[in-house]
Amino acid sequence: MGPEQLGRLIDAQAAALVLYARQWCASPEDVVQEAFVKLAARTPSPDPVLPWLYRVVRNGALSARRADSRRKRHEAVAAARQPAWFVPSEGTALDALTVSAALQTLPLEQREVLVARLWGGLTFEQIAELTSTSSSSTHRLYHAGIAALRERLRVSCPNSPSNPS
Amino acid sequence: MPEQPLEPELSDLERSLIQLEPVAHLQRDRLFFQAGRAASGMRWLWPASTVFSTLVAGILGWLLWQQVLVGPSTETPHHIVFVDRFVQVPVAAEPSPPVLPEVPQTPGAESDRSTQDYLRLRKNVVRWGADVLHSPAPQTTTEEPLTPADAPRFSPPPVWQDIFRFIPLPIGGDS
Repeated sequence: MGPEQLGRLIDAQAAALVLYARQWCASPEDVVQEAFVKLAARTPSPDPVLPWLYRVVRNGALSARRADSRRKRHEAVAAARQPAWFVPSEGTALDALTVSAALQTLPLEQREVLVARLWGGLTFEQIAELTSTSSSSTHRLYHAGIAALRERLRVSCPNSPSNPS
Repeated sequence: MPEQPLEPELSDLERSLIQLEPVAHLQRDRLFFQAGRAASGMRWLWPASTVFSTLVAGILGWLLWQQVLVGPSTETPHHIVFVDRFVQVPVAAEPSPPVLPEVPQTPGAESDRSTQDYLRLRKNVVRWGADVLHSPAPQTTTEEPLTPADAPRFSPPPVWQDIFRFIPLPIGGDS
């Protein structure tokens, strides 16, 4: 893979990959960086490259979580300094900190599917292959996650029974 | 499996969520540096050379340590050799000297030899006297040093030779 192609891939997918790795570990940047280094060293490049990157990041994040679990005290300090997951922006309808807090309350399986689908752009088939589940299960998890987020964020929804209005 | 469309309100939430930009504190330059180093094919060269140099240094250090432990020996070892019998060892024949082609005798070479003989004889006469002419030539080589015994003896001429020299005698006998 050439440097220009690698640069474009970093610009387009690094942030989403960091968010994806953040679901498991406290040092997602290191995991994503290691994944890109592995991609640069791989000859020939995997095709398609995006699901391969997400699989490498997932494995790296799981390994990092196991390493973090062996350092309980360090993990507690890192959790206390949890950075924001999204860049604060004036143009968006949702508050970045609120979405981060709501997303963290979701189960890990739903978070993983949501992040891979919304910010990673993977298809449900690719997510199913990534998580070693069926495509229908992935689709179901995604729907459940979006609905749960709507509940957490209290988004106005006139047809929803949970909304009193 | 075809993807089922979301409900309208969930689709709105989905679009709003997509607008959020995830935070990433990646160091782009560092990432490119490590990616370039990983992409190069000779990344095993320096670790391998480091391991090799360490091994060589360890072996040389161990050898030096062994030499310090043994120390230099000052005593000459004595070897006692018992000879039971003599063994005739055949000696290879010496190669014969190369045969030089005979130089044809030329009148010039003959004259040189006679000149050398004359000079040697004159030298002996000057050194030992005229009696050398009738006695064997003294030893002049340096292989054996000369001793006084080797010097030629001066014997006086017999007296009767002088007497006969001054007495006129008839030539031809009694007649």
